[in-house]
Amino acid sequence: MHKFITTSGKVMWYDMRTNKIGLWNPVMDSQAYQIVRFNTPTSACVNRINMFTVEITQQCNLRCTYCCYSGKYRNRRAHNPKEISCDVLNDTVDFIGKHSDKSADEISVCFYGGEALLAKSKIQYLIDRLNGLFGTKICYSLSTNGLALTESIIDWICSQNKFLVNVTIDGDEAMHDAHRITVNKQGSYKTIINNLSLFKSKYPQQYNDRIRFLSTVYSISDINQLSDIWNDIEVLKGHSPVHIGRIIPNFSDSRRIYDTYETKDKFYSAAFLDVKSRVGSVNANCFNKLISIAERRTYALQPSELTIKTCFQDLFSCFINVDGDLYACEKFCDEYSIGNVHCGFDEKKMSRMLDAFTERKNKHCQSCWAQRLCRLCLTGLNHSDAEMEQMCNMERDTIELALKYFCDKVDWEQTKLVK
Amino acid sequence: MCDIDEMNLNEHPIEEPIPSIDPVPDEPIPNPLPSPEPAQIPGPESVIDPAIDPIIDPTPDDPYNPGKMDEKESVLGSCDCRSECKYNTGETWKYSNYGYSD
Repeated sequence: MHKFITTSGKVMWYDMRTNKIGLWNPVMDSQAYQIVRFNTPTSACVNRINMFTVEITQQCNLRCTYCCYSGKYRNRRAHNPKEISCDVLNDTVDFIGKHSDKSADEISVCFYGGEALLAKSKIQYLIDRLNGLFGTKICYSLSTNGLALTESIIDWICSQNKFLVNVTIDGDEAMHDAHRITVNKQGSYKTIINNLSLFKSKYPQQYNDRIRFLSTVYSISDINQLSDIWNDIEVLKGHSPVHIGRIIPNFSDSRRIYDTYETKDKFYSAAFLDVKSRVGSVNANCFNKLISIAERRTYALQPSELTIKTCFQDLFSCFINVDGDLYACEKFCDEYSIGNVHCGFDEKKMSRMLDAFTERKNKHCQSCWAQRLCRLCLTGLNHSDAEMEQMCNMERDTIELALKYFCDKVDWEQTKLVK
Repeated sequence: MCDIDEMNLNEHPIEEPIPSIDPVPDEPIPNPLPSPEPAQIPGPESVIDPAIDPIIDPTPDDPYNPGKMDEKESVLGSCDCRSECKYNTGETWKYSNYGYSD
């Protein structure tokens, strides 16, 4: 149970047991907290995977300061020239054939790095083999920093069927080059924008259809600047980032500052103004994403004992690194592989991870008011217990803001109805 | 490390156990994670007695609690960390967040 206050000063009450929001009254303060006992899931399904992310190379032509592969992050690899071998590629094809969802309309394969375009021939080899297996029931995407998007690469991309390209752009030149620098510590922005301009002028329709932008910011308050400049840049105009991510936490770095409740509140307060003005901005999208946490609640009574569910229970995606090691996604640290393409999934390892995750949930989450809305997942195993406490505090802040602004929006809409 | 014994459980009153519900005996955990056939995903409704804890449908005119029970509730129940992951629900409007809150 959690008390919170809306912008207008209305005191509200979120009840974890029912997942409902209501007006607070003093009687609620004396209500008992529910303790939930979590049980480990004992089954898994690994044969309905729809999306495979394949790490083609661990080499990169950039040295982004915030990269999780910069060598500054615990239990994560650093940049190195390793490429996926032909043996691993061949076993990857067999693995994908075996574990893909046979009922899916389409399987998705994403090429990842490092900078995947540095090993383009390996990408082409994999595409040829997979097309032989899946025919038209497969689509591809590529994550790239855009530096290697030369004209010949652009021509090659546009010759492929169902091939999307995710390009990371962190804003204008100053914002982007603050972190996304080359091996020689030079800015990358000008070259990338020139490459995108060529793509757009040579293949305008395909540019619109295939290119998706991703951005990374240090603080949520940086999104304001991103939103302000985005449509001023010709090749980015009208092509908002599909995802804005924050630099992943690095608790080993004492200089890192994480967004406080107040910082986030200030951002969302301003973003709400965009929503009210019906401005279709990046900020407005962020606001809507926040309140979706509260909007999509369902109201089944929380039991006192619950078998948790994780991605392992119905694995939709799988990450395959250059060595053929398997992970549920690329966000897991190196030690949390769950098998490899040569031998398949390691059930015992998966079981140990589920046990550790359940133990942690019973330690941290049993009486947490936010447990039904919490988005922290199995990747929390990357962090120590102490680090998880910080993550939990940040997540609770965000969830409270989601409840607050959800209620603010409801009140605003009710006001409009009355008028 | 946070040890459960160190938590001050008296800080928050603990809900009294419901006397009429028999404790579920501990079952031995079967051999791990079978493959290759997809197994039944256990539902979240382990210990609820519907007569005592009926599921409450939201009233249609409650603006703070819109919507109804989603049929996916039985699959993506409470405390399901898959529910937020775009990768593992296939819903691209969700977002993977490195386990890191926005």
